[in-house]
Amino acid sequence: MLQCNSVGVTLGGKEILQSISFALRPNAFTAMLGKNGSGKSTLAACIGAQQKHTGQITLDGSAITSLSPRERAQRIAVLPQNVPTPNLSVRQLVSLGRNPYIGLSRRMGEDDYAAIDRALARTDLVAFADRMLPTLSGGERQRAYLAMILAQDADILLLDEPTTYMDIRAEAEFLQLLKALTAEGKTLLVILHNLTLAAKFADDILILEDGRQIFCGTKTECLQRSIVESTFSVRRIDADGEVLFLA
Amino acid sequence: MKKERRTPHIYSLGGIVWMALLLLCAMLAGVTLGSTRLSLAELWDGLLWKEEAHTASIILYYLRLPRVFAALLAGVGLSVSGVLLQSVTGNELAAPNIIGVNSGAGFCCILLLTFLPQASGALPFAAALGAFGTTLLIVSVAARLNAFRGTVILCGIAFTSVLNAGISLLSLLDSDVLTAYNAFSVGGLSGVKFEQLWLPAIIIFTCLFLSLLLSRRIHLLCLGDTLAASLGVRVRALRLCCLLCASASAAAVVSFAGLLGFVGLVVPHIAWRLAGQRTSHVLITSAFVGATLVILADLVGRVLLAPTEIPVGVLMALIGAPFFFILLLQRRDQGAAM
Repeated sequence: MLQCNSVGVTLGGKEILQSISFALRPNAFTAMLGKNGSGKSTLAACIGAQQKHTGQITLDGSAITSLSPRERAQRIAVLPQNVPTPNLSVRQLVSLGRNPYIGLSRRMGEDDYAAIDRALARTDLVAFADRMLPTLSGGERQRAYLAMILAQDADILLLDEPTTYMDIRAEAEFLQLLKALTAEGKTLLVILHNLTLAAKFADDILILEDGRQIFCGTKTECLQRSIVESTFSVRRIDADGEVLFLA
Repeated sequence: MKKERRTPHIYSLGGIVWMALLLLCAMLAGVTLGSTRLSLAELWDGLLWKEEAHTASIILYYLRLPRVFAALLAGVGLSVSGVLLQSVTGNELAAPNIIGVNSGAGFCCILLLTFLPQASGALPFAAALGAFGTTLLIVSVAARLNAFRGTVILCGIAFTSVLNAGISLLSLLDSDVLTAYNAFSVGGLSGVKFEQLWLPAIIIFTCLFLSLLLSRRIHLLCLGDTLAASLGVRVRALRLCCLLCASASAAAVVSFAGLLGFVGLVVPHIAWRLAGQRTSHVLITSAFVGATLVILADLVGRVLLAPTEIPVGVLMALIGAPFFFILLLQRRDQGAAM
């Protein structure tokens, strides 16, 4: 289980994060919400061991900083907000996800090829396997990157605004796919801007405001206490069993 | 099915054989052509030091072979250095001069020529020391500033400006020094001896071997630092290792060939076009292409205006610059990222 204990970050004398403490529920989809500049990406960088911080982040009781980069990569997969479009085929990109299991003296083996095939099939990209990334749409490219981190075989997936460049349908399909992964043993922490889709797909919600943790708990509790409305100054509409948030 | 998945095998075997054949042809042309032409029979007899081919043996062992091997080493060293630099900085215009190799080597040489003219035999060591030392300085300053990737280029530009100013200042003091420095800065392989090549050869091929060993991790840098790190790569350590390899390799070349321009910039671009994105393939391809190009450029420089010799550095710049321009135009027309 991934746990943050009093995590704080100060950059240039400014406190970007203050006393963030929460535990990610295993096999659940946790949506991290917050306005621009609330510290979401900084927290993601801390969890990915890319940002120095105070406090402690532990994985099954061990500090993540005590793990080697390869050990950490076998447990936590990170998909950052801005990803490049290198001139690689989808299969070549997905195969890079096996890097944590390949040493200087070890080449890819049957296990690796099987993991790549599984990831391509899980993201419906088998037919796209030989397509080059620059020829794909934004949604397809994000699915290719999702396949890459699935090939990484980590149990915790951390995605920073993965649906930024998608249209509404692609966004919903992508989140549906993420949601389904929780049933397959994955624990997800996903930074999202779309509050309605977060309310629809997430099991748990973590809300940050000005670097502070406003809420962390189940979606039901969050909706009951109207925390999203007060934090984001939005209106809530309940219709046909769904929750919509409007500005 | 499996063959299809484990792609570039066909490329690896067929491509490498073709490139090796081209390189062998270039080497053969390099040792047989020149102001005195050698037939294949003379070449064979000369290589075996047969009595009747004594002159051919002397030409081969004292002039042509050292020169061809020097060209081969220069091509491999500078090309591999260029590939590493372009990969780790994410900048297509990165070349050995960006990490201070040229300015560092030049400054140390002119320093030696000015203050210790009697020790001009130590010029190769001064050049290599200056090149490698300047890189270390640039890399350590960039690492202290924390933003490694872009900063290393900016630091390189700043240090290069300072060192070039030093070179200009010292060359103003003594015109003899300027003449000697110009010969070094143009870059050439005239008069190179086997004894000068052993140490650079060990350095260059060690750097190539290390780069190939790390090539899978270097390849991951094309995904950006965050993703590469999340895939288990020690990004900063890898970048530092690659920069040191690139510098050592280029500095080793500077020690016997002076400042050869354009090889480290142009050859990686050709290799990327031929070999795709996989770093191991690009490294091997650039080593072959670089070696072949420098051997051919040196040969053309020797025979074109014989007996006058055009330094290989001048020819590489003359051929390299327009070629690079054509590559850029083609890329613009295709509208694709390299």
